[in-house]
Amino acid sequence: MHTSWRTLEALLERHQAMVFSIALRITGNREAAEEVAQDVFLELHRRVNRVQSEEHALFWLRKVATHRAIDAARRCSRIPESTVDVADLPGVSAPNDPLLAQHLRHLVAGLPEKLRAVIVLRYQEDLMPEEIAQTLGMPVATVKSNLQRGLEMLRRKTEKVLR
Amino acid sequence: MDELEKALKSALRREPAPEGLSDQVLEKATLRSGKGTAWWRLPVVRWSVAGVVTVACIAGGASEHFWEQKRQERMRGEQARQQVLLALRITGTKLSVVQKQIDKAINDGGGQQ
Repeated sequence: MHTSWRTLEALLERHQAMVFSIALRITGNREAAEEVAQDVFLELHRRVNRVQSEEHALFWLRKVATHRAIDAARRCSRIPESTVDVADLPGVSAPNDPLLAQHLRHLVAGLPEKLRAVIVLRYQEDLMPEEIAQTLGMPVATVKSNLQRGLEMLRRKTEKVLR
Repeated sequence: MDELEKALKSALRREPAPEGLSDQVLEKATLRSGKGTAWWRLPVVRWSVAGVVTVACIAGGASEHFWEQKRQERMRGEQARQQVLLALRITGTKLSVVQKQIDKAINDGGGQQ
């Protein structure tokens, strides 16, 4: 009992930002993301004795957080598309511009759930297509094509600024 | 990695989890696994205990300070009393010497007459 509590506390401490951020980017909603993060860790608590290693826990958390967040995003109402044209944003030029970042987050939130999940896992979690395929349980080729489609959709909306 | 990918990497950085997420998870986990076996892990219990301990420490510190002040006051009073007694003893000794000299002078004067 005590060991499982300590394990849960340690995993919460280390990975709550990761789980919450995945959920936030996929649902596009802070409250929904918090709910997803809580559910994921409660599920982990039920299975904590089956956690084999830190890597296993990390993989499991990413996988479950992504799937739960996709489900939550489907339940949520559709996120409205940004009405702001990135070309209208004053002074947007650098890739790390905060205005551009905000706009991009909004654009990502407007992508179909599967593409959104792939983009989040690739650029937030820095996973390679093979790792994303394992996490989402889909073929690597599908991950790569989803990644290309997602990037293409984002590129069309930001091409006036980013080249 | 092109400009869009760099911008995505920058825009999709991890965000810190909301304050209290851990506590809420642990609280719910306690209630679910529960039957009150780990009631002492509930955040409300933890915070209450921390509050009580803090108040007790502050009260203990204040009490210690109060009694230390009282002790020092008593010591100062005792020192003053000792000084007064010493002064009285010195005065008494001096007076006794003077009295003896007066008595001696009177006796000597009486003898001459």
